[in-house]
Amino acid sequence: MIFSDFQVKELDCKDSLLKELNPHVERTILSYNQEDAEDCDAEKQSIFNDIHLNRFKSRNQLINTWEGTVTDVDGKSIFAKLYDTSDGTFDEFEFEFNDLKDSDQNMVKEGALFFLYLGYYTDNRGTKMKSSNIEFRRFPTNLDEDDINEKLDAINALNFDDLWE
Amino acid sequence: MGINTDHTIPPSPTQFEFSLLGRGSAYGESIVLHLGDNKWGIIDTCLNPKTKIPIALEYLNDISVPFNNVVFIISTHWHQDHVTGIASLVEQCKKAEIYLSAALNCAEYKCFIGFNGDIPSQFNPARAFKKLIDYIKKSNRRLKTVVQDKVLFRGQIAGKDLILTALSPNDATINYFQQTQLKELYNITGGIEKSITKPEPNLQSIVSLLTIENFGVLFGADLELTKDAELGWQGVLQSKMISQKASIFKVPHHGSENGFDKDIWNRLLTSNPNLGITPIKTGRTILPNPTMINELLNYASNSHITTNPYTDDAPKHSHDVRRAIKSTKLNIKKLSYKLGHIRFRKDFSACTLLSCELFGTASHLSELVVV
Repeated sequence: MIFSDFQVKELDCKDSLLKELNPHVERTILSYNQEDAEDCDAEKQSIFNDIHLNRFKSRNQLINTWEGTVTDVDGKSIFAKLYDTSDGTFDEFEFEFNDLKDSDQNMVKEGALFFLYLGYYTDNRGTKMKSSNIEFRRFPTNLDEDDINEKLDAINALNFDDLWE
Repeated sequence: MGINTDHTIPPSPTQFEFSLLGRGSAYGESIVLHLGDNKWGIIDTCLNPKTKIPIALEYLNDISVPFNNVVFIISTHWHQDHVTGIASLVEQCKKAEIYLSAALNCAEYKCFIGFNGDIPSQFNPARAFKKLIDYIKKSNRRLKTVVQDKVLFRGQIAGKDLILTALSPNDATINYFQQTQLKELYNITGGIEKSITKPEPNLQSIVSLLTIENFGVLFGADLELTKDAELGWQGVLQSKMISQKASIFKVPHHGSENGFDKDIWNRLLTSNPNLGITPIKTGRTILPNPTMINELLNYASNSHITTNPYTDDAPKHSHDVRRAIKSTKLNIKKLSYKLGHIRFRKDFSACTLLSCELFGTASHLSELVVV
């Protein structure tokens, strides 16, 4: 959808909030939609994460999961900080572009978020081996009117201006 | 290394205390202040990853201080290593005033939080802010904005005036942050979920000066130098409330080069002041770097650091995880979360000297072994 259509339609009912926030909202929506993201067929981030976790678990026995953020990129090397979901502590992680799927390689930027799964993989012959998988996280793209309304409602629900003395 | 293991002895009612607490070089920092007569203040927060309790509260608990004795909480800027657990901290300290940088009170930030506050990630600072907002709404408490020269606390210790004043952010910094820098928040590449690294939140930093007669403590937060004469540390010098030089300094931004300017420091600090530093390790970057360790030691012989980031004494993964990491050849290393505690105390009822105690992983800066 084109955001300007939404803008006109919605201004009638959410006028004050939208008048104030439209420039920011529009810029954000545009940035959400400006690039395609492969594999992003889920509407919600949590669903997206579950899909990848379940895809991994369907062929693997999970040993550990981390959430990571890219802290530094140097040539072929990528440096990241990991949150170990098993105990709430932080790890440091160094890996290479070659460790990633082709579709994830263009997502490696400072601050990008990903999941790292570690487990046992069982092949078709029943052989068990250790396996790891890195999945970069994606924003939902192509937000529709309901998605945008949901975001605006979330902003409105903050009652932000009333929080300050 | 810290020679003391027991930090549980509370200060007397006439003793001022400045405790700088840090967990490893990746978890964050928190400052605890005794303001006299069992009144306490907290600047910034991070969690003990094992207990999920803010480290400031664990320390107050260790010295048997009721959390209702905390009269203010200052969140200097919205960086992950300074804000984890803030909602919990505010909720536990029910009588504390809550101070945030005025740079955050704007429509752009409101929009940013609305869009990003629910994205589940340990690395999403908007989520921590959203949690704080959710609590504030429920509790009917209010956030207070901080601008340059605002008095944040005024009290007495041993009959002497104790005043805590904000030296930043000034109007130029607030305008710059809101009108220029915050716009960069929206330069998010579509399809990639990112933690926010820009705009540089360090510019929001609340730098504050505590004075008790001719004694001063300067809290540098993570404020950096900029090329603009009105922003960052240059902006601090515009304050009309710099009544005296400080003899204790919480060094800004983990002892980085972009927080250090000898001329500016000379205008704010006494000669050979006591420095307190918290290190940080981000990817290949470790602060303070070897050059700055020497610079800081040359500047102040009484320099202390909460932990040595170059010999991180890290715990190990569980047996299964360790074996799996080894066989998949993943290059993963756990980061240390041990507590380091630098504690300064001074009794204002008598002519006593300032004491400095080190606990846990804290050490004199000269003891750092750079590997």
